[in-house]
Amino acid sequence: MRTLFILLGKELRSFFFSPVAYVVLALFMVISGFSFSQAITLMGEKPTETSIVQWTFYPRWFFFYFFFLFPLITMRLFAEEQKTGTLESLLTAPVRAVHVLLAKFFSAFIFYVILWIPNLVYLGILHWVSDGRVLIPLGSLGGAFLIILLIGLFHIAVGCLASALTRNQIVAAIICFTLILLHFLLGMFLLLMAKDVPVEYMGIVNYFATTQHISYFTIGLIDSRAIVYYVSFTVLLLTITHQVLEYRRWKA
Amino acid sequence: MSEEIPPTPETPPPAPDTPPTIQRGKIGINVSVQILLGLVLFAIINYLSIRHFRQWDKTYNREFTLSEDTLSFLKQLDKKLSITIISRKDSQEHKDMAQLADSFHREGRSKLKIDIVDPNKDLEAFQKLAMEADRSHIQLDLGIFVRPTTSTNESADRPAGEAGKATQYIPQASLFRYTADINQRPVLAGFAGEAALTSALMAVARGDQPIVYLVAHKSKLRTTKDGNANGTIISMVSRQNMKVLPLSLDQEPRIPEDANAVFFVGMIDDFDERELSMVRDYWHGKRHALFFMLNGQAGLNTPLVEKFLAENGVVPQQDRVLRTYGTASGTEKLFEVKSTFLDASPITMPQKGTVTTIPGLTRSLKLTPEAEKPRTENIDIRALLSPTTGYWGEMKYLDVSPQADEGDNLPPLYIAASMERGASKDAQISVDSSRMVVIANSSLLDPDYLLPQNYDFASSCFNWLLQRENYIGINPTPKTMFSVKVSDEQQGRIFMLSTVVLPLTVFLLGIAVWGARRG
Repeated sequence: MRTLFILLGKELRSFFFSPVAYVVLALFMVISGFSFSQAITLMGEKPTETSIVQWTFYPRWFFFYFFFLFPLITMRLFAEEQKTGTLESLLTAPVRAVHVLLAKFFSAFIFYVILWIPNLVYLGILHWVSDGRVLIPLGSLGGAFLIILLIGLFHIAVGCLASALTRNQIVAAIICFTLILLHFLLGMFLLLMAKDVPVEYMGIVNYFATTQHISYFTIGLIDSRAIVYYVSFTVLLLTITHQVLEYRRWKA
Repeated sequence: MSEEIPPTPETPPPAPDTPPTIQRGKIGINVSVQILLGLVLFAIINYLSIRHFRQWDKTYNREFTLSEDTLSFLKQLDKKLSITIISRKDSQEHKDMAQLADSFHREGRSKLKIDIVDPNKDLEAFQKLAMEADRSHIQLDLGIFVRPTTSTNESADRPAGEAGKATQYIPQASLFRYTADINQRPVLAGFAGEAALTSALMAVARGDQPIVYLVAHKSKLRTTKDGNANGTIISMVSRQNMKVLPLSLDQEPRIPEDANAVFFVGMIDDFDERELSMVRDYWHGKRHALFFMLNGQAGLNTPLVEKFLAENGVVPQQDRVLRTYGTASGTEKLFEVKSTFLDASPITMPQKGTVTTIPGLTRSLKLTPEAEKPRTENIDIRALLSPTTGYWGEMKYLDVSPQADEGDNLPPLYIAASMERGASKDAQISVDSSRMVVIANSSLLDPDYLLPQNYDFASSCFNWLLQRENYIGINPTPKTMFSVKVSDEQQGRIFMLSTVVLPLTVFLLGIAVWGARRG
């Protein structure tokens, strides 16, 4: 466990010593800050059934920028080390491949969580500026954060796998983006195809649809199915990535 | 300098190092098996997750949580019922209708078959349903259609009257409640889908539909383009799957045997002695119910109605409840009564402590449980609504500046009460009791002044009168409209902070870190 924490610290340092992390964070803050301002404008014009939390965490243009995040965060994780040749040294050092994998995975995840913290700050600012007159539903806020974290876990695991498969960061980014997009489109496709299925089968269709998960969680309906789906998929992808790393180890 | 050890002739020379052979085939199989096992485990976990899941409803209005009464009914349901939700998928109402289907499917999976039909997209399915409904004399449109899960042939074989009892249709329009915004545009205020659907399921499962008679010929109610209080009552009662029929007391020898309840709303004509006797006879029956909303119109005189109520322990006073307040031009009277729901009765228990406004002219009620008849006939009298502080029952309410003085009725005042004849703590004896509710105001259900809490109160009264306490706890889900009211200056400040200042700070921090690393 100690090895894992040492590696995690090293990975986090490498994240925050790189200007790329700050550029990504600043860009993400501009987009989410803009979404937040737009939400305030829209809700100021007329009352809506959609709360400020839904507008902030799930605006209409959410997927336009959300999918680009993960290739940016994960593309360098393994690909860069493979290119510079440091991955072989790392894997032949007295550390287990699983420690290397988990350290990289969690460092990316921690950075991803940090990306979302400004949204909480914005809500705090609104609460402060409006003297607490704006209703912020806490169940909705908790649900929104939970689904953002769950989807983040899954997408970062996809990014880890993509990065472990190639030594070229751009190729890793493209693989990651494609896999995430395919998963998203599969859910959308099932939703479109299943318009006329009976209610009892809608649960199965909704099971794979990211848009449904987000829309339910952001109103505050927490569902164990989505939690199991993303966590189990993350574990599966990390297992496959681990096998890829083990392959590199014995190949080396 | 290393010292070499000469080999001893006794020990054989070490075998030359041979690199270990990597059995790539075996490792490949091992990896494949591990990945395959991972996939199988993933599939099993997700299959179990679909079969056995849990939801936590943390929505603001607990939109996905069914009431205890509905859950208890679904648990006890011993028939398989079919629910068809007829809704346009692109409509504003569809979200609530689909959520309702989802909630009932989740809780009654094995007993309910739920379908959603969009008449725009699946005309054939809708027409098939409409034909089925037509056999029950139901003209199907958007809404919810409930029936037992029988084959079409079985349904066709059933006589029309019997089919009517076995099917229920709830029009979509009756499920949604609207209020007006400041520009008088309708705004969705609540969704009463759960109460209506539970009620319909109960009616289909049990095959009964209570009959309510409405005595309208003695009333005079303010009527607007949206109708009057009687219209509100008809719509409410129909929504709860009760049948409403008109009743003229002067044309009937007695109140019909099949009357589960008789409603008198805003009467301006008094009973005659024969009618009084009819109402008394009905009240002395078993499981009968009377509902009175007294007209507050000035100068009105209905002595026999009041006599009937007074002998049963509720005495309508000749006053009007009001309070006064000072303005620049002098003292003004306020007849709108702010009142609190009391916790003495199961009718108002879900709303206890809530303050509501009662519009129009309201009389006060004096409760006399110590009177002879309530004592001898075991009539349980409970107060339901009481004005908040500052109000009194003014006898000279037409005066310009009335004051609470001798002869007026002073707090505590009551403006609604319930009576139960033959009430008992023993539930088995209590089922034969007759019930009555008196509200000393007839504007409460006026469509122009109808408040959600007054609607819920009236709805609870009807359910209590018909001994359907199970329904009292099923209130419509309120719709919360979210808005943000900040000034342009505050909005500008938020924009600057969130879109410029904070991201720029992070960007500059990045440059600083990068510079320091390069330095």
